[in-house]
Amino acid sequence: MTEFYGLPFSVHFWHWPTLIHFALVALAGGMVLVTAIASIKGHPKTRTYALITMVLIVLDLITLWVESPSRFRFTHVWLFLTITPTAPIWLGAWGLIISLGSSFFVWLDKGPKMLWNAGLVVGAALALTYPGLALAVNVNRPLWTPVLLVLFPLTGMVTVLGLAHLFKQAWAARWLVTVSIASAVMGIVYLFALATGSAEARQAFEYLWSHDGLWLSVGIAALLVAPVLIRRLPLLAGLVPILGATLVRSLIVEAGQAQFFGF
Amino acid sequence: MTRLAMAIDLASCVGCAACSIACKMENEVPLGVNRLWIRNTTVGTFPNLTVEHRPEQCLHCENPPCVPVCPTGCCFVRDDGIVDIDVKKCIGCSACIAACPYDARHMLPQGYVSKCDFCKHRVDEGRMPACVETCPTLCRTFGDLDDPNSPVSIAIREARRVDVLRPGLGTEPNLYYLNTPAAFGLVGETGGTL
Amino acid sequence: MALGGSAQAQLFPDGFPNPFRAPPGKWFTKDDVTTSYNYCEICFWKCGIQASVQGGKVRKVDGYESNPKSRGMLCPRGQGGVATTYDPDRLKKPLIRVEGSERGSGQYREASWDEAYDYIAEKMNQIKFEHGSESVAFFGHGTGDAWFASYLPGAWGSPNAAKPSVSLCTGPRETASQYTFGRGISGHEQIDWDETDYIVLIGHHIGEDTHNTQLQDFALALKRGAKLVVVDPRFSVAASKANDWLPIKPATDTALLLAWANVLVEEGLYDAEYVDKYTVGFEQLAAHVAQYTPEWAAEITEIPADTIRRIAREMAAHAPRAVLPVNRHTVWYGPDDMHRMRSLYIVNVLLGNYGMPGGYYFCDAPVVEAYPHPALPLSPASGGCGGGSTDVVTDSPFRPAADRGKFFGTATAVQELIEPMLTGEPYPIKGLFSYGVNLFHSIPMVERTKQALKELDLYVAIDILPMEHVMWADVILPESTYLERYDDLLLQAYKTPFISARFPAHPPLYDTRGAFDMAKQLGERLGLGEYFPWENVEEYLDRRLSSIGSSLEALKDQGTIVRRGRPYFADWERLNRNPIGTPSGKIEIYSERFAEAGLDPLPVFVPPIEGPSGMYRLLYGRSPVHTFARTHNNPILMEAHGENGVWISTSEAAGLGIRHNEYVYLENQDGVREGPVRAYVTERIRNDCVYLVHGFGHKTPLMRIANGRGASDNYLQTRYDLDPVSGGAGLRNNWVKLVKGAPDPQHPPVAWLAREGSRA
Repeated sequence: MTEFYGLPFSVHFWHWPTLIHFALVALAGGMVLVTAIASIKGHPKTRTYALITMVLIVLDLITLWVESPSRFRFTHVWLFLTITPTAPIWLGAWGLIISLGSSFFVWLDKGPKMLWNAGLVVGAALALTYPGLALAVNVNRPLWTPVLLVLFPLTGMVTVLGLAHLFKQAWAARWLVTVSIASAVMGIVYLFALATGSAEARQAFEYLWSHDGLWLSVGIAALLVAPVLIRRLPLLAGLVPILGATLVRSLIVEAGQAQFFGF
Repeated sequence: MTRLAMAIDLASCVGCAACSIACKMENEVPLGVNRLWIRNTTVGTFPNLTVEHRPEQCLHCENPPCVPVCPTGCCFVRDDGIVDIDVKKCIGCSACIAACPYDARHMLPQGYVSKCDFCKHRVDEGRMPACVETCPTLCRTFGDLDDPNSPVSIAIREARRVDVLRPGLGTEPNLYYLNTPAAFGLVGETGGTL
Repeated sequence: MALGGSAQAQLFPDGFPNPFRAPPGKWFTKDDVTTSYNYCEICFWKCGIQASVQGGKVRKVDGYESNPKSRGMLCPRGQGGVATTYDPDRLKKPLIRVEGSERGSGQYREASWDEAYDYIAEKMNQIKFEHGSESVAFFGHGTGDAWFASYLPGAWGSPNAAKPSVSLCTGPRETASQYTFGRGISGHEQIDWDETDYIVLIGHHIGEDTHNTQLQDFALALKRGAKLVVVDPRFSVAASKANDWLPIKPATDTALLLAWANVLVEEGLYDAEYVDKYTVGFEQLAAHVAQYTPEWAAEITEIPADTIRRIAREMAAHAPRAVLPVNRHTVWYGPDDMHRMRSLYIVNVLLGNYGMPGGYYFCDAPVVEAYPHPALPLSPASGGCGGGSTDVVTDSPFRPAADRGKFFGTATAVQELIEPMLTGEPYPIKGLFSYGVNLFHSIPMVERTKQALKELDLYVAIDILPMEHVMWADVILPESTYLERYDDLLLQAYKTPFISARFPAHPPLYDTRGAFDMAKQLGERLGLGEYFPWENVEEYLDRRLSSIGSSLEALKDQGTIVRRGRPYFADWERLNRNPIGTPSGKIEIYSERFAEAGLDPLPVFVPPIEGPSGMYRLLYGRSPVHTFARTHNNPILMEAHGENGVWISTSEAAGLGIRHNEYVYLENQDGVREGPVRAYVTERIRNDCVYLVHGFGHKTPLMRIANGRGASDNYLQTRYDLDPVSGGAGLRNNWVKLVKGAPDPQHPPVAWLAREGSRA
């Protein structure tokens, strides 16, 4: 039994606005990839996609600014005045800025297109992977495993593909089915790896399962039903995977802040 | 080279929190958060009991997980080994809080992160950190590990047993716990039940 | 970054957030930091401190090397106690109870100091006229009690001056010491920790009771390799450091001590040479303790006879560097207390450690002459931590104290002065001063105290915070804190006696005064001006210090003056003097004076009073971060320890279906209820008792942080057993049961309350 005089900071450090950021950055990152591919392939809607990408990135940046405890100190300029490639957030910041800039020029349809395309590819890679990376680097928090490096980009893509499907983009359906199922499989792999892992991982799994097991199952199930719905109920087929993917991401971000140290 | 380190003799510590409160006053740590706290844990059953009184704070790791994840370079390691924060660069992203395996970092209401800095303002003047100076059980020693005659080197050399927190993570803390009351080491670390 | 200062200034005009500028520096980065010497008043160990002031506020206090009590270190309470001075809930102006309102209803109006003094003086004179000067009682606790529980009542003429630090704390140990050694124990327990090799603590909570120096000495002794035995029904912090923990059945300690005496005598392990040279009455003791075998004690104490024998032999093997330290709070079980303390001293004496290295050393207070004043008409026997004298004043023109005849000792017993307020027997007490004494959190039978207060003609409370009992007073005099006031010199008896002074770190924040000023102002209005001849406190202190060739100015830079002590018999023998002050000049194992008074001349075991079945004996103790009931509105200390829990053994809790941290009520044998309080389910306590940390359970919304947190042990102490020798009130003869179903009080965070308080 343990008692304290004074408490360690073993509380949640990321709250609901951060979850909104994680949802928006998934959409934004996924949209950058869509724009990149469209731009490379010369898809007729490339400029529209670029505009949507910019809107999503700006929305995400606004969210980040609102949730930042230092929002009125404007210290965020330091993100771009230092070089810290070991920091996922620094990678993400540059990823989003590069994507924003490249999308802007793609939307303008001016300048060297090759450069903007390259920017979009690099930006998409960074923006899609950095959320999972930002979690997975914390080896001290057992719920944030390396599996997230795959799971988060996949679920991020699910949200964008779901959105594209909702807006009746013909190319989206096939990819939505594939990526949804891949996400669900990775979700199961994530849980399985925890449940069969080290003692700490098993403890973490028990914590996750007892707190969020039901909702996590609902989220993974939602990712699995997309292929079934895709022909019969196109509206739901878009919406359900978005919700499923966002739910899975949010739960992992939220619950994963637990650190099983001395409690 | 200077490698500042602290050692806490758990055989002497009574978990009274003098260090914690001295730290709070010295560093104007606001209510609601702590740079230093005491974890008192009981193990065993009546009448065969052990109580471990364990002060915890930033361990100033040799290999600090909080530093590489900082996106603005505000978390850095000083030449003397103190893991420090350049608060003007802090954007409050909490990445370092997430990375700390010891819950040693906290967010201040002013929007930047804070933690134990071994009272660097005192150390720079050649004084002891506030917790070391005030401790009525003299369980804390502080100094340069590279100097074999520093109080901390001597204390570690003479200890019956030396432990660090969560050694499995490879953080190589510069805060050592000496002479754990439980024979198995630190409670919750190597087999103790909580 | 290469942005120059001027470029920055252009980009970021003043007041505009600047991402290149660090937030403002902390207090220690400022250039207006000054320091002043003081001695801490958060507990009464009175460590020497140095206060660092910046921006008109004390930011930090530290111990300092040259002070023998702090030696540069400080406990958590001393560190955090500073926040009490800046508590927004403090008493800020003199208050007078609204005329016609009932006591306890809390209706007050602000008054000037002159009006408050005049009000008090008029009422006091009226009481004197109607009932005599003895009918005003004076209770005091803290440095200022020298004025309000000794000097002023002495000048005024009331023997009814009392300190809870005697009959609710140290009484039995002091009386026992006076009648055994002819000396008190003195404020700082005189244990020669530096030299001892074997320590036996009897219910002594070192570690939870953070008396700075004692904790240092204790830790250093253990570090040196001294063996430690702890006798306690609870696995205390000290027990966690022990080589042996003896979980004794509560209230049976005397049996254990007598059995140890038995083993030492029967097995010839006592220090015969020492006993022969320094004591009288060994033969009677030897015959007396023959009956107290370890087997007999094992039955009573539930400690195996083998263990009792083994510890006794180990003690003897380490003697005289083996010691059973005397603790401070010794009013445990009433009639047993005196015998327990005498047994403890006798075991120490058998080990030959009293006045020897590694045992008990001798200490006397340093001598500084009093400020010249006419002799007081009376010197009240209010005692203090150092205990009262054994002299009985016979030719006083005043009536004896109203508690006379209830017990043998001479120091007044604060709880025995409540009854005369209610009954008027032996004569009425109609007026009361409470200087820093928490009437509802230190004196048992709170309801009786409240009834008594209603009967008074005058009740004056002097305090810093609006404690419950304060808000019953007719006149409330707000005192400046130790950081804002001068006080009398601290003349500390210690191994190296020393003199410390208190210098205000800054002027009072509010319209408050120190006890020194209040006593003088009141004295003058009562026509006692001749007893207060000094101009002001500075002049008073300077005059006293001049008698030792020092001055106030000198002490300002020095803080403490250290004297040489005479700690051992050898030091006294070199001067041909005898430190033992008994009539026989020897340590009186057998007390003729007790025999003459019809008391037991040798300690006996008084079987404990047993409680109702299904109830647990209520034990209580200390938190390392709190002092008495004084620090529970201090946000820093409350954040560290914000509510007490009732300790109950795991097995008993399982039987009752009580979970750890569940809120319960405590109900005592008289149906008095306290709580909600958390159940602290633990392996660390026997299953025949429960334990509470004292001082919680305040019941006043005026103290935002303290209010309603935890349970008060004192409210549950609705009975006590008087020690007929010392006058101590045995408080541990109360029993409680745990009642399930208490709601979670959902205390708001201390940080939030503190913020609200400073806004209000």
